Amino acid sequence: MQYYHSVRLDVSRCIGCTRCIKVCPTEAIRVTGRRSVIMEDRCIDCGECFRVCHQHAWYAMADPLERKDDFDISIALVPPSFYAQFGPEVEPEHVVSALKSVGFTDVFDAAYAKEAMTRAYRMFMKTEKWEAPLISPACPAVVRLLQVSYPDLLGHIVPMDSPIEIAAKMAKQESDAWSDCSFRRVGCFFITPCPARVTAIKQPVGGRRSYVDGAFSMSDIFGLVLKKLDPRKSEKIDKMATGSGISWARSGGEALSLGTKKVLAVDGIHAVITVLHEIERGKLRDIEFIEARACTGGCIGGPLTVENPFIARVRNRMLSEHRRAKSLAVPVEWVEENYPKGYFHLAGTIPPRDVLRMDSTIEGALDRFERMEALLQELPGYDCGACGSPTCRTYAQDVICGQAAEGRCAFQSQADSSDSGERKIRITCRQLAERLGFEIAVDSESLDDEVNGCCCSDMLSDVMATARRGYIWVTVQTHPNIVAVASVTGVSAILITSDRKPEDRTLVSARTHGVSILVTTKSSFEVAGRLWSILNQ
Amino acid sequence: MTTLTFRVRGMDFSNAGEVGAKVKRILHQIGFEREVTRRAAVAAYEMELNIVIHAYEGEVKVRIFDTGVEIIAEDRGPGIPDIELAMQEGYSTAPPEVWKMGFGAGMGLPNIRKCSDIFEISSEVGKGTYVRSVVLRG
Amino acid sequence: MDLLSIINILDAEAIAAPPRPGLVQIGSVFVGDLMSDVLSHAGPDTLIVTALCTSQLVRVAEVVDAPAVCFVQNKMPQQSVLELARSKGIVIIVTPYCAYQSSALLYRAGLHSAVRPGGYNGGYLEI
Ligand SMILES: Nc1ncnc2c1ncn2[C@@H]1O[C@H](COP(=O)(O)OP(=O)(O)O)[C@@H](O)[C@H]1O
Ligand SMILES: [Mg+2]
Repeated sequence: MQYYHSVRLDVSRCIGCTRCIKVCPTEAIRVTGRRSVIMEDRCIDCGECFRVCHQHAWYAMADPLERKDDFDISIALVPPSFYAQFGPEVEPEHVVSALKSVGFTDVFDAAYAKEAMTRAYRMFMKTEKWEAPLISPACPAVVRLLQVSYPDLLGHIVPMDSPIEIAAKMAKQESDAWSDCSFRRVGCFFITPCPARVTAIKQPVGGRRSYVDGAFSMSDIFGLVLKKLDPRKSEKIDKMATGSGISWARSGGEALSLGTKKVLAVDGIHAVITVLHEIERGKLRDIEFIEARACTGGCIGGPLTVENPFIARVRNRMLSEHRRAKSLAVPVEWVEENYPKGYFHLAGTIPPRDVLRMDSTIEGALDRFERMEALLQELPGYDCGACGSPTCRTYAQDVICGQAAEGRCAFQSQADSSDSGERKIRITCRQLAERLGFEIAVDSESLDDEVNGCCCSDMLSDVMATARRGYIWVTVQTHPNIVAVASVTGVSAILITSDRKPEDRTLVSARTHGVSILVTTKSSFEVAGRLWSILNQ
Repeated sequence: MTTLTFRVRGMDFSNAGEVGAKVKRILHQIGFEREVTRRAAVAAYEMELNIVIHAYEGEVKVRIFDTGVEIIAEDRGPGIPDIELAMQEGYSTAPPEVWKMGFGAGMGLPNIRKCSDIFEISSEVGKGTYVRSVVLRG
Repeated sequence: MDLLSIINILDAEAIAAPPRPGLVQIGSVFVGDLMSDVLSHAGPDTLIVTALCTSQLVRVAEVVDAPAVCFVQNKMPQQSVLELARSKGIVIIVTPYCAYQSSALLYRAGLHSAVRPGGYNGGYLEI
C-alpha cells in the first residue's frame, strides 16, 4: 500500500548535513548522495526533521487556500492553538471575524468538539471493556508512531475518531441544518498546527474518507488573519467551547478534562517513546488514560505554529482560565443521545504498518538478523551518522537489507576488494573452523596454518590455476581426487559445503597425504560471505 | 538460528523489563506471528523479573529458530525449596517493597507455563534456578 | 534486489540482457559449478554464479527458471552460448571477481543463499 505523507524535502536546499536523520523517531531518513532521502512508509509526519533543519529544506505539504473555493460553503475549523498565536488583546471572537473577512463562509470552534470527546471518553470508560492504560487518539503523529513502532500497543488507543474528525462532522451537520437548498457542497478546512494532521486528513486510519476536506497551514493563515484583525470587529459563535476544551491546545489539557487523577500527560515525541517503552515493559497499569502529544508543549508547539510555544502556552492558559465554566459547553444529553449511535467510534481498526520487517520470510529475516549482528560487531558504535544512517545498528541493517552500500563507515577498517588473496587479520584454519562452526573431518598439521585467502570452485582445473598455499578451498566435491589437488596446490584445508559427506576413500587419502578436511551444512555462497567478513575485518 | 544473551542483575529495577521488550521488538522485526511474539515476550519478561526479584544474578538466553523460540534463564541465587508450591498461582515470597512497584503477584511462573509449549524448571537450594521455556509457531 | 544493483556491486558487465535490467529481481544466490547442484537448488529468483560458461549452464538455468547467470573472472562464453541465452530470455553478466569474492560481495549486500539444507541454517529446536 502506498502511504501518503505530508513532510517533503526541497532537494535544492538540502546539503546532506545529517541533522535530521538523528532526530527522526522512526529512523525514516538516510543521507545518500549528499542529501536526505525519506523512507515514505516509515514517516509519521511528526515534523522533527524540520525543526532541526538549518537549511529549511523540509516543508509540509498543506492545501493551497484556493481549495476552499471549490465549495459553495467553506467552514474553517479553528483549533484552540490558533487563538494562542495572537496577542492577549485578541479574543477568539476577533479571530472568527477576521477569518470571515479572509473568505470563509463560517467558522467552527474545534475545541467545542473536544468537549464532546471528553464526554464521550467518560462514557466509553464507563460502558465498555478496555485495557489500561488507554491512549488518546487525538495526536495523529502518535497514532502513526504506534502503527510503525509499537503495533502491540494499538489496542490501547481509545477506538474513537480524532476530535478534528468529530468537529468536522458536527460542523457539517450544523451547516446542513441551516443551509438553503441552493448550497450543494459544504467544505470543512482545518487550520493545522502540524503536518501529521494533513496526512491524517488525506489518509485517515481505518480507511474511511475524512470529514475534513482540506488542511491549511497555520503559519500561512496566520499572516492573512493578522492583516484582517480589527479590534472593533468581533463575532460570537454559539457553539464556543469553555476553558476545558480550549485547554486541549497545551499538553495536559485533555488529560485534565477527564476529571480523574489516574491520568498521565506526556509531550515531545522522544518523551512519548520513553512512556510507550514503559507500557511495553508492562508498567503503568495503574494509569487509566495517557495523553500523548508528539510536539513539545502540545499542539501549541506544532511545527507549523508561529508563536514561541512557551508564550503560546501562557496565552492558552489565560484564555482557558478566563472562560472556565462549571459545566462543558456540549450538553450531556447530546452526547448521551449520539454516543450509542456510534457517532464517535472509529469505523475500522487501526492496522499496524509492518515496515520494520527485515525480510518477507522468517528464515530470511533470521538469516539477515544474524548477519546484521555480525556486521554490528565490526562497527564502532559511535552512532555518528557520517555514513548517512542514524545509528550503527540501522546502518548494519541497511547494508544487510541491501539498502545501503557497504564501506561507508569512516571508522571501520575498509575491506579491500582489489585482491581476494590479501589478508587483513591473522587467523588459523582451526580458529576459523571454530568460529564458523565447521566440523573437522580430517585433522592435520595444516589446520594450524594461517589462512591467507580462499578459493571457491567445484572445477578441479580452476582450483589448480587459482588456489595457493595457505588458502581454504570451498567446494561441494567429495571424491578422492580433491585430495590430490589440495596437496599439489598446498591449500590449508578443503571445506566441503552444503552438508555433503566426504567419501571414505577421500578421508583415508587425506589422512595419508596430510590434507585437512572440514565439513559444513552451509552453502558455498554463505561460507564465502562469512569467510570474507572475518578475513577482511 | 540466532542466540541472544542478556545479563540480569538482582534488584536492578531500573533496567527490569528490558529483556522482554527487546525480545518482543526483535521477534516483531523478524516477522513472527503476533501471538507467538507475545507469548515469548511474556515468558522472557517473567523470567527476567524472577532473577531481578529473587536471585543475585543470572542470564537469560534467547535462541530464535524459524520454528519457534527457546528461552533459558539461569541464575545464581537462593533457589526454590518447593517448586510445586512456587508454581501455584498467587504464591509469592517477594518482599513488600517489590509489591509497591507492581511486581510479586505470584503469577510469574504460572504465566510462563501458560505461555510455553514446553516448560522445564529445576532448582537447587543455595545454588540457583534454571527455567526453560519453548514457544512454538503454529 | 534488482539486477542493476547486482551489476553495480560486482562491477559486472551485462553481455546478454533484457532492455530493463532494473526489472529483473534477484532474491537468492547459488555459487557452484556442478549441474546437478544447480538443478537441485536454483529457483526462479536465483542468480547462478559460476566459472562454467557452457551452453549446458544456460539450459539448466532455463529448466529451473533462473533469471540470470553470472560468469566469474571475466570468463567470456562462446557466441553460441550468448545467443542461446538471449533466445531464452536469460540474462548473462560477467564479473572480474572470482567466485569467492563475488559471493562475499553479494552476501554482504544481503542476498540469501539458494541452498537451505535441512531448513534454516541447519539449526533445529530440541523439544
Ligand atoms: N529465580 C528464582 N530464584 C529463587 N526463587 C524464585 C525464583 N523464581 C521464582 N522463585 C520463587 O517462586 C515464587 C513464585 O514465583 P512467581 O510465580 O514468579 O511469583 P513472584 O515472582 O511474583 O513472587 C517466588 O515468590 C519465589 O519464592
Ligand atoms: Mg515472578
